[in-house]
Amino acid sequence: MNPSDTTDGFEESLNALEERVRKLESGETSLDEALALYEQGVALARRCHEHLDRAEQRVAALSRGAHGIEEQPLEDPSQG
Amino acid sequence: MQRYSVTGLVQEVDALLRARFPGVVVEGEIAELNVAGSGHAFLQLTDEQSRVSAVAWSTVWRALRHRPKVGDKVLVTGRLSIYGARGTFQLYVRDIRPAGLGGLARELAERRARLEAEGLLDSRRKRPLPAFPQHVGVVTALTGAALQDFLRVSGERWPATRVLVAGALVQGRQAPADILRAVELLLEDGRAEILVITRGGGSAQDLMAFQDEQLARILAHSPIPMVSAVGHEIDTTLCDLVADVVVPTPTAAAVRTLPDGPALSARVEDWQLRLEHAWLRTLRQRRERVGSLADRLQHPERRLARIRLSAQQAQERLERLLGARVGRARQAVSALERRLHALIPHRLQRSRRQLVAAQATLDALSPLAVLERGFAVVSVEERIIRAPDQVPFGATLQIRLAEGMLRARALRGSSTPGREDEDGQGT
Repeated sequence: MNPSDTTDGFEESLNALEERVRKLESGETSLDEALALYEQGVALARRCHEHLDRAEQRVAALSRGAHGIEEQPLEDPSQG
Repeated sequence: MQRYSVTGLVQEVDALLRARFPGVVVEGEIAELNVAGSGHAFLQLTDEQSRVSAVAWSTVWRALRHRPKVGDKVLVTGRLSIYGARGTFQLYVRDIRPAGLGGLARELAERRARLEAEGLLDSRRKRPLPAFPQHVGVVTALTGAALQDFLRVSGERWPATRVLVAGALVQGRQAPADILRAVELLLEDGRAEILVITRGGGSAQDLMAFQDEQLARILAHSPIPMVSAVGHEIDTTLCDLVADVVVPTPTAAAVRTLPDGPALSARVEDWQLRLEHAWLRTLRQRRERVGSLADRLQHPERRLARIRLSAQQAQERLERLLGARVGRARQAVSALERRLHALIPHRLQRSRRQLVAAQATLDALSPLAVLERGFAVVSVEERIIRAPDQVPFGATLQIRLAEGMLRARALRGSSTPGREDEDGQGT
């Protein structure tokens, strides 16, 4: 699945970020582990922001056409 | 015949009542009304012959659009149950409307009662909304302000969610069928995780589409959670009653349906900050630990230095001690030497003095010294004479004086006996 098509990745990324921060904050990790946690945390935060900043055509009108359900872009007032 | 305890009987009758009358509409007149301090309202409903107790819990009572008073003729919607403490049945009120509004109000109350009887209004049927829906389906008029409001707010909150819109007429005679068709379209498409039915506010007449019993029944069976946002100025619609979530406006529907992006963005930033802090703290702690370990590593070296220093000090002390002792020994030796050197001449002197003294004594004892003082030594034939009888008459006396010898002749002998063999002192 193309990650840009998913939004549920945000919640997972945020949870994963929180988990890594808590682990890092516990101070019970080796330096290697801490570095890995930090790098993962940075990547996860970036993913979260990507989800938040995603600006794409996001509104579609569904209708029943000759070939089943058809989808047409709809003007999005939040992007105007 | 079956025997019951009182409670057992009450419970069994209660179960029967609940099953048989999950939703009823009762028309009657309010004979008594007491609103308790708790806010609960206790009513007596009567007609010409009978009387029924009813209770409206405070939440229901406060939500009533028209609060009835004693003497009012009303339509009461609710369910029946036994009040166990008294063993009498009670009507538990869901809604009270004025009676005599005409056929419509009565019709709506009856529809509601039917839905309730089918269990479709049960609060346990209400489902939570997914927190991060990828797709939200919206049923509304494609040209209405409601859609614009919903899209504007959803775009502000969570643009990542795709909004699938199924257009429908939201008022008029064909609206219920059109809304149903749109709902079915979205459900058939299958992507939407939440179904939102919305329109702007309107008159009671405008909202009639959402009072459709069949529509409400189908919505109640929606496989995905449904949000009703059809305007609450007038009344609760049947659509509201079967919805999982009820909100007053399209804007509120967007707020309720989609995550709060700006707040989450702030939260992500908070976690990012915490991540940075935790990482920096980890680094600092490691650095401090390395530092303290390095300190501890230096330690033996310092100890060695200390040992070296104390060894040196000991040596110095030893040397000082030895030096002192050697010095003292040397001093002692030289003192002895000095004493020796001092002693030798002293002894010599003493010996010399002794010699002189001895000489003096010798000199004093010397007969010559006596002679010097004028004494004389008389001898006869080399024998020193001490008594006269030692000298026979006519013997030649030899007289030794200090300065020389005299020869003399004895003129008379002496009769005095003397000790012949006694010699004089000295030679």
